Amino acid sequence: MLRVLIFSIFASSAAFAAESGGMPQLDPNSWVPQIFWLIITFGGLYIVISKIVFPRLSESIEQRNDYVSDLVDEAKTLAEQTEKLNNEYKELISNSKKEAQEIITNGRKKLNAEFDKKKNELDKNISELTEKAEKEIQSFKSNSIKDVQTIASQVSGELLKELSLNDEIDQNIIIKKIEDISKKKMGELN
Amino acid sequence: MANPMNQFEVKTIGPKIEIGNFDISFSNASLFMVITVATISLLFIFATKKKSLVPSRLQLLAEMAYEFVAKMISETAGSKARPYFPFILTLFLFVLFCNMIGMIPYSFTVTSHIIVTFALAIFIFIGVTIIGFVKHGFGYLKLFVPSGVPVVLLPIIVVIEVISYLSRPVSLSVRLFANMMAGHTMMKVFGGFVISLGLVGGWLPLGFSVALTGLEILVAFLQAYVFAILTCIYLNDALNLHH
Repeated sequence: MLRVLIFSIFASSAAFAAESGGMPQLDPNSWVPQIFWLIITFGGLYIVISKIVFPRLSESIEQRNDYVSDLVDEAKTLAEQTEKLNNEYKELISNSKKEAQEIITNGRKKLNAEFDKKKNELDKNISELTEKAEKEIQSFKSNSIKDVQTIASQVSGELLKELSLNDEIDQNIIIKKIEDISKKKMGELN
Repeated sequence: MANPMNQFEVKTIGPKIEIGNFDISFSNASLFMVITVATISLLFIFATKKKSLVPSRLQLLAEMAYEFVAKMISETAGSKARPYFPFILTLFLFVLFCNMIGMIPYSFTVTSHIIVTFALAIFIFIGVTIIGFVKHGFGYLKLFVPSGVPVVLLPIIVVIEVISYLSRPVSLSVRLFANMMAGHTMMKVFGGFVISLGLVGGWLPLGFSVALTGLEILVAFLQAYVFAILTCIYLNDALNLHH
């Protein structure tokens, strides 16, 4: 559609041009000066671009690329270092955990050993004391039996003495006498 | 209505200068070539003055043009075309700025003259042919013999290839010239319609003129791009020779 339009306009303008002496583009008299000035200007532009603009642009772009790649390299090394440090840190943590575990188990062992030792000592002491107490009780028992026997014999001796003096003594008096004498004897013992 | 072809007329400015039999008078066409080259030179020299790491807007513009052309070359002709980079950049910028400056009202469009585009195209054609023969010797003629073609068809194919190769400068120059001339003629015609139809009916061609201006700016860029990329493709044939 557009092409048709362009062509129709092109054709109509060509017709116009034909009326007024043709297209100016087809006038050979204008060709040589145009070519001459084209060579001068285009050549000049080529020199400006190849000698000034192109080196400057390629330098600045290269410079930027270098800078960016330097930064990327730096970032890479930094990332590597971080990784390394991170690993070290992890190792350190796991080592400390192990150490702490060791310390805990050692401490527990030590404490257990000490506890056992103390307990044994105490047990020994207790058993010694018990033995001693038992012995004392035993000796006390045997002693007290002896005492009772002595008291009994003395009491019976006294009793006999009293009884032989008076036949007609009440049973109650006898009991009382026994009590008195035994009390006295017990008091002596103590 | 004014003749829409008048805008293409070459008018001599100042005295007539002749060297031998050659007329080298300065004209409005020469003036706009000088203006184009001066604009590009000043713009790019100023833009690349500082070479800062973080570019200014103007420097960024210059770098964008540089990278645009660099990408174009590396995609079509590969790394071997690196030495021709300044030429392609010059060519692209010259055609682009000629086209764009031609869009300014009352200015002259250098590229709307067949002789200018043809001179550029024939220079490229001869240059590329010389590069091809220098790089490959007579092996460059293999360009006309595509591989994998039946022997029976070969004579016809070779003739077609030679004709298409020889018509390269014509197609390259006519494409640019015709596009620029047709566009400017069309705008002139519609501009004339605006005046002749007046306040009553002039609005429609005026709207059309506005739309055409946008289209022509696109065409101005596109044709510069096409001109440069076709040069790269021709250069690729000369440098790499695998058809």
